[in-house]
Amino acid sequence: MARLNNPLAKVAVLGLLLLLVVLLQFEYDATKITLPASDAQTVSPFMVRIMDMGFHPAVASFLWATTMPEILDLWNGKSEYFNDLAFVNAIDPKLSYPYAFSVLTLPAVPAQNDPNSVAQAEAIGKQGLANADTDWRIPYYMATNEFLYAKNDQAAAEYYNIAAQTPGIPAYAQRFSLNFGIETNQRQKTEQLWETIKDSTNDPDSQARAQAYIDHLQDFDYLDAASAQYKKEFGVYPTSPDQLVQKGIIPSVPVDPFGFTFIIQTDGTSAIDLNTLPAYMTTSTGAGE
Amino acid sequence: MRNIFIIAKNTLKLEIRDKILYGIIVFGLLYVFFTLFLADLVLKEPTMVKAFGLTGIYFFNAIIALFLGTTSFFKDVDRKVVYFILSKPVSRAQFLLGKFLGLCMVLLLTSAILGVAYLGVVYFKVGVFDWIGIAAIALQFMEMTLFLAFAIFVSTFASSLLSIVYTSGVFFLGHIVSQLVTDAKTIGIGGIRLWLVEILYYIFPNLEKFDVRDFAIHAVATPWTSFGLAFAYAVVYIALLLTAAVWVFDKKEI
Repeated sequence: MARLNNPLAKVAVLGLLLLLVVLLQFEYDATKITLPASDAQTVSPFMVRIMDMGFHPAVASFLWATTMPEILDLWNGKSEYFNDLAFVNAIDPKLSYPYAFSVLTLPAVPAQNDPNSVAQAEAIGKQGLANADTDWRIPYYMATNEFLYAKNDQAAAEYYNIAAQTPGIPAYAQRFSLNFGIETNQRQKTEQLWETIKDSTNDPDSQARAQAYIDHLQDFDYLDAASAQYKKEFGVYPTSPDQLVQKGIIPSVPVDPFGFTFIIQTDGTSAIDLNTLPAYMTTSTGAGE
Repeated sequence: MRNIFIIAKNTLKLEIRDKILYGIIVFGLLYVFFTLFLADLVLKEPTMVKAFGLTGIYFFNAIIALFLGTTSFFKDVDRKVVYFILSKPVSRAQFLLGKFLGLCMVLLLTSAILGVAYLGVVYFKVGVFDWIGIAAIALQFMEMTLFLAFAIFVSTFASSLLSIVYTSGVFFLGHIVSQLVTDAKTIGIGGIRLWLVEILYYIFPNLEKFDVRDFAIHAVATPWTSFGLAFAYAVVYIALLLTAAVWVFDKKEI
C-alpha cells in the first residue's frame, strides 16, 4: 500500500472517511426499523432503587429532566406526566423540585384539558410537604394556588405561614407571606381567619403563631385609627408613627411580632417599611419570628 | 517501613505516567464540566446539580480504582519489576503494602482533581460552597481504597480478566446487598434463603455505609459516628484483605 506523505492528502482522506461515516449514519437513520418503545412503567421504581447502587438522587434527577417537558402534553390531553412524576418521586421522594414545579405549573392547565389540575397540584404539594427536603417553594406555591384558584383564604394563610417559617426562604417571599391579607379591605377577614386557626388547634406553638399574625394585623388597625385621630386634631396626616407618640395620640409605637418597622403613608394608612426589613430576613433563616 | 514508602512512591510515579489513567481523568473532568449543561437542563436546581456531579466523581473514581487495582500488580509481573524488587531485602508483605499505598495516593490525587472541579461547578452554577460534598467525596475515597484492596487481593491468585470480573461483582453486590436484605424481609422471604442473603450482607464488603451522597445532596445532617464507623470498617476490611493477599502472595511461586 502506498504511503501518503502529503499532509493535504492525509487530511483529504480523513475528511472523506468522516464524510462516509456521516453518510452511513444518514442511510442508517433512513432505513432503520423502529421497534415499539418499551413502556417505562414496566420497570418498577422498586427495581430501579435496587439496581441503581445508591444513586437515587442522580437517577431521579435524570428521569426528572425527561419528565419535566411532558407537562406540556397535558395541554394536548395526554397525562403521562403524572405516572412519570410518581416514578421520579418513588425513586427519590426527597427531591423537592418535582413537587414544587408541579404545584406551580399544574393550575395553569386549562380546565377543559384537566378539570382536576388544581386539586392534583394540592395533592402533589401535600405529598411534597410530607416527604421532600424542606423547600419553601412548595408551601408558597400551594398558598398562591389556594388564594388564586381555590379561593380558600384560610388554606392560603396556613401555607403562607409554613412557607414563612421554612429555612432558606428569600426575604421577598417571606415578607409577602407574613403580610398576606394586610390590605385595609382584607384585614378584618384575615384577622378572623387567624382567629379560626388559633381556635382550631390545641398546639401552644401554633396558637402563639396565630396570635402573632392577629397582633400584626391589629397593629395596622391601631396605627390607622391613630393616624385618623391625628388628622382630626392637626388637619394633616402624620409622616411617621413617631409623630403620633410625640403628639400624645399613642403612648408608644407598637412592636411588630415579626420585627417589621411601621410607616405612615401619604394617605394616612399604615404599612411596613420595605427599606428596613427585620435582621432575620437578611440572614435568610426563615424563622419569621 | 522505609521500603513500603519507597515502593509506594515509585508506584505513584509509575501510575501517573499511564496514558490510560489520563484518559479516564480527562473523561471524568469532561463529565463534571458537562454537569454545567445538565444544570441548565434542570434549571440549576442545587440538589440535582450536586447529584449529577457526585455521581460522576464516584463513577470515574470507581473506574480508576478498578483499572489500577486489577492491572498494576500484573504490570509489575509482566515487566519483571516484581522479581527485581523481591531480590532486594524487601519482603512480599512490604511490596504489597507499598503497592497499595502508592495506588491509594493515585486515587487521592484523582479524587482531589475531580473534587475540585465538582466544587467549582457547584459554586459557579448554584453559588454555594458544598462543604457536605467534601465529606461525601472523602467517604467515596475510603470506599475506593477498600475496592482497591479487594482488587489487589484477587490479583494475587486470579488472572487479570478474572480480577476485573470478581472485583466488579463484589462492587455491585456490595451496593445492593443492604437493599436485598431489606427487600427480602419486606416481601416475606424467610428461612434459609434469608439466611444466605444475611451471610452475604455480613461477609461481603458492605459498601452502602460509604454512600452519604443522599445526605450530602439533600443536606441532611449525618452523625459523626456514621463517618467514624465507615472509616473503621474500611480500615479493618482493608487490613483483612491485605493480610489475606500477603498470605496468598507468600505461597505463590515467582
